[in-house]
This record gives sequence, structure tokens and C-alpha cells, in this order.
Amino acid sequence: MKKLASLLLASSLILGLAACGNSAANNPGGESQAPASSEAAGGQDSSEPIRIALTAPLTGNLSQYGESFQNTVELACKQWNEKGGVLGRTVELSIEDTAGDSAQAATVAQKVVSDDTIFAQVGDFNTACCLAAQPIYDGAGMIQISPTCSAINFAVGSKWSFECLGTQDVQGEFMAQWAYDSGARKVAILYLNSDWGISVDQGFAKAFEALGGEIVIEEPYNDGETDFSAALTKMRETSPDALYIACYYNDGAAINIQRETLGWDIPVYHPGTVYSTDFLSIGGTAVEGVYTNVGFYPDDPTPAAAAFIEEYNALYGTDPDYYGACAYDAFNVLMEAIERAGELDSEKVRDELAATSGYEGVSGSITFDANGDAKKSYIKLTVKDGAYAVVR
Amino acid sequence: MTKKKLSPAALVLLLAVLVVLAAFPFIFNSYLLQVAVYCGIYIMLAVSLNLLIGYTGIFSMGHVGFYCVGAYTSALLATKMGMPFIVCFLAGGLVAAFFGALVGFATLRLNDIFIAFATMGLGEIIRIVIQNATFTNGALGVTGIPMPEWFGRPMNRVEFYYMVLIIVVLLVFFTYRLVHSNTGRTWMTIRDDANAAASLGINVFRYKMQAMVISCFVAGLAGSLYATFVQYINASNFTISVSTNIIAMVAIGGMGTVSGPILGAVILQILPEAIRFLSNYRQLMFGAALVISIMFAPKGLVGLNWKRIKPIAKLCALFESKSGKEE
Repeated sequence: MKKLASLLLASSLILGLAACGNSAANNPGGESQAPASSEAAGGQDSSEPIRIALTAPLTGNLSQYGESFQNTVELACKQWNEKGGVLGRTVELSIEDTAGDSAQAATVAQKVVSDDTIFAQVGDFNTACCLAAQPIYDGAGMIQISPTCSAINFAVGSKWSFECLGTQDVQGEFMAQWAYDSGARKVAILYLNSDWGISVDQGFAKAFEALGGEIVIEEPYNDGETDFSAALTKMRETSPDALYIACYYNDGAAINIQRETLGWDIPVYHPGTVYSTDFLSIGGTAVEGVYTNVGFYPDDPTPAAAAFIEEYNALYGTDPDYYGACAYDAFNVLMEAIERAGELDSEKVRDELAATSGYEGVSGSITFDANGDAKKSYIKLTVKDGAYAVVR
Repeated sequence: MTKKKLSPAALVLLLAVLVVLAAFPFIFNSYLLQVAVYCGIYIMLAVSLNLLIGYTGIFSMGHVGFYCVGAYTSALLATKMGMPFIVCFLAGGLVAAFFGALVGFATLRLNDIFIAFATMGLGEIIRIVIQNATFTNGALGVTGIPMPEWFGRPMNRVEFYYMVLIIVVLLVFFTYRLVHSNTGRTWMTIRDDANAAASLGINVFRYKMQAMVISCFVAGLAGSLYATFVQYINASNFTISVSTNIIAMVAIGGMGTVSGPILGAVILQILPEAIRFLSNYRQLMFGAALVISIMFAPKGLVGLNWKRIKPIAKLCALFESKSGKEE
């Protein structure tokens, strides 16, 4: 009897899935086996809105970034619609949560490409999600533009993939040049053992060695570690001139506090990820004088960024963060590319997107290279008297 | 669970479900197909874990470790050595089974809560080793895992779905036969009272090992399917939360039943997708649904007294009078 009941339940579930799928996928044609080809995508009916999917971690550990993506992209979308839309059509967002989980990212990608009304996709935040979704967008020939995927193996993987943060190779070069120019010849690297951390480590090490410097030690740490004293002591024994520490702001603050406790006074360089007010409040005196970079600096904005910050502040009551600014730019370069292409044709828009050069975004100027990686400009920052200050 | 034959009516229903599943790709879009393939993979995981938790009484919290080993074995063989899918698939299962045997050898003499801790630790160790080892590509993960080739071209997603469907049907059939065999009965004896089983002359350790190896083999196969389907794996896919998810599937569906874990896996895979429209409140609702189901159906959904609901009771009566054989 139990078997019968469960069979009944199973069949009702299948029907339930059908129902939820049909309402959720919003797929009027129901014809979806064929990948969303360039002709099908969005259709040419000018009364229909242009639909863009935004995929981001709206729940889970990375939700703060996802929320930032959502806020900025919604703002950008609103601004385009106030200007009269793109190609005379309104722009509409389809926002999907991937929770920072690559399995979910693949499902969402599949959902996006099977929806004929969606023309292109903006997202995701983290590398794992972008990479898991990539084969699906690639197979469907849909533009995938990630605001923040900086891994060196992402954009190069598909002609449809772009990213707006710049790879760690470029950032690594920038930071290596800075450290080298400041007189460092021997650098010790401490990095988070993740796809991102490894990219940061390699990007810096490659560039620094090319300049003639020496990397004396590359020490990984695992996510969730809180005691860095052993790693720091080990690094200290190699007597470097400077440290390059690839971490997020919370770990960064903890590492600097423990470095101060050890009484080790040495120039410290961080990638732009530590740029956060929490880094200053947690780190206190320990983060005084550390160096980092940022593409977007609200306290000293370019005219384009100033307008963006003001609008964002009026709408959400806080300043946007760097990643949000990247998402804003990602959406805007995509819209500009559609305008230039003059029609909703994935192939043409992709070519226009790839041709983006010197676009003055709020997160810095954007030029895509042959792989689809943005070449960004960076601003040098240091911490002075408990606040960020630009190094000129 | 006594041995009984499926009534003709239930068989018809079963066939109907199979027909719907077979027609699935023609009715639904590729998004739902993706969800369906995940369902299949999780059915494999839940059914295999159920062999341990539900039938043999081994509370393994480290099932994700074997899933992970299967996924990585298959992915590395395919990307680094260019092996065909069938080799990767079987190797994924075999290597996971080998690890299962090692782990089993070390832990199966422990009981209850200690097994839970030991396996939980091992699951994490496997993930951390993979994240730090160079031959697994460390934290960068493995990209570009090819789809299986057949007829000289890569399989498409619809074909992949059918492959998973066939594997799952075979697995469920095999499991059904297995738990109703002597081995299955011996497992249940051990689960109910290991000391009594030993006093009857049953080699408890050997039977537990058997369950462990079979279960891990299936988990490894599931891992191979996942890696091949998503084409990208990363150690962060295989955290302890996957283990707890599989345990939840077994518990919610019904431990120690054949259909329970299938139901649990399908529900827990579909539910988060079905409530996607809730966006930020999704996880909250998902959690609430779990709590409610555990409060009101502690024996799992299959263990509920469905006959209390009149229409179902009537329907059941209808089937019963026709078959006259059920319970």
C-alpha cells in the first residue's frame, strides 16, 4: 500500500514540476529543445521588451554581493528605460538566484537558455558558478557577461563569455609593478587556497618575476582558518622585503592583526578585495599603511561614477561597492553593444561587445581583449589614519 | 517489510510513471531536463545511502566523500587521459568502492555515533586533500570534462537524460531485488540487533563491508554522472552540506524503504526550484518545509498513513479489491 501511495505521490510531483516549470520558465512557445538561437532570442517584435537574465548569489554566504549586483543592475535597467529603452524597446530583467553554488548555476543557466524571451545573461559573481554555467551558454550561443569573474581560465573558454573585472594577471602586473617600484625585490605571498586565490598568487608571481624580482615563498591557507601565526612566522624566516596577501577583507584584517602581534613591520600589498569599511574597522591600527587597489573609489569619483553613486545612494541609502559598480558597467556595456548592433542578433551584439574599447564605466575604463577579459584601470590606495587614501 | 508482489494496478501505475519519464524531454524544456537529471543523480545517492542508513544501520555522514571520489576519478581520467566515458564511469564507481572498503575496514567495527563522526571526518578529509593536491588541479577544479561520445559524436543532453533514466531504473530494480534477498535480510537483522545477528553466526563485519562497498560504488557512479553532466567540478561542490542533504532525502522519504529515498530525492531537488519565485525567502521556506515534514512525518513520507485521507483510501481500496493481494 505504501508503494502505491508513493507512486501516486511521485506522479503528482511530476505534474507539479510541470506546473511550476511552466509558470517559472515563462516560456510561451513551449518550444525549447532547440538552443536559443540568435534569431529566436527575444524575437524582433518591437513591442516586446528586451529581457536580460541576471544571475547572482542572492542567498547563501555570498548574498551581500548578489544583492549589490541586483541593486546596481536594477538601477542601470531603470536608467535605460527612462532614456527610452534600447532600440526603442524597454529592457526587462529576469533575476535568478544561484546561491554561489555551481550545481545551481548550471540549472539556472539551463533555465535561462531555454527561455526564448531572454536575449543575454549578466552574471555570476564567483568563478565556480561562471565556469559551471559556461558550457551551457556556449552551447546555446548566448552572451554571458560576468561582472566579476577574474579567473584566467574563464573568458578564454568561450567566445560568448566576457568579464568586466580584469583577470588576476592584469591586477597582478599592476601590483607587482607597484611593489617593485617601491623597492621590493623579495616578496612573500600568502594566498587563500581557492580558484580565485591561486589566480591572484600566480598573476602576481609571474609579473614580479618577469620584472626581475624574487618570490621567496608562496604559502596557501584554507578558507575558514583563523590562526595565521604559523604561516606568518614561516614567511618571516625567508626575510622578504614585502608581503603580498591574497584574501578577502575579513581574513585580511585578521592576518594583519596577527602580523602586528608578531611585531613584524613590513610593507603589505593586498588585491582590491580587502577594499571595505569592515577591513578598516576590524583591522584597526594593524591595517594602517597597507597598500591595495581599487577600480572604483567613491570618495574621489570620476564624473560618471559621481552621478552613479548619487543615484544609487538616493535609491538604496548606501554607497555602492566595487563589485556592484562592475555589475552596473557589465549591464551598460551590453546595452551599448545592442544599440551599436542595431538589432537583437546574438552574433552581431557579441562582435560589438568584443569591440568595446575605452568605455568609461563607473568602475574604471573597460576595453575587452581578444579573450573577452576586460583590461581595467586601477587606483592605488593605502590606509591612512583609519581611512582609505589615494596614493599618487 | 514482507515480500509481496506488485498488484497489476500498481504495475500499470508504475508503467505510466515510466512512460511519462520517457516522454519527459518531449514535454518539458531543457531547464526541467537539467532538474530531472539532478533528480536522477540524487536518487542514486539517496538510494545508495539508504542501503547503509536504512538497511544496515550504518549512519554514514561522509557519503559526499565517495561521490566526490567518483566525480574526480571520472573527470581526471576523461580530461587527462582521454578515456572513453564508460571507462571513466565504471572507474569512478570502482575507485569510490575501493575507498569505501578502506574506510569501512577502519570504521565499521565502531558503532552508531562513532561511525557518524568518523565518516564525517573522512568526507571532509577527502575534500581537503583534493583541494590541496596538484594532480586534482587543486582549488581550480577540473574544467572541460567532455560529454560521453557515441556514434562518433558527443551525446546531447536529452540522450544523457535517457542514459541517467535507464541507470536509475536499473539501480532501483537492483536495489529492490537486493534488499529482498538473503543479503538484504541479513543487513536488516544486523540493523535491528547486531549482537543477536552475531550470535546467529552472521559475520556482521563482512556484511557491513558488503553494504559499504556496494553503496560507495553507486555513489561513485553518481559522481561520475555529475562531473560529466556539469562538465566542471570543484572541491567546493563536495562539502558536508551535500551529505546532510542526502541524509535529509533519505529521512524525509522514509528510511529502510525502496521508494522512500527516491521520493525524498525528487522532492528535495524539485522543491528549491519550485519555490524559486520566492527569491530571497527560498532557503527559509525550504527549511520550514523540512521541519514540517520531520514533525509530521517522522517515519518519512512513505511511512505516513495515507489511508486517513479519504480519496486516497478509496483509491487504495479500489486497487486492493482488484488485486486482493496487497498487505
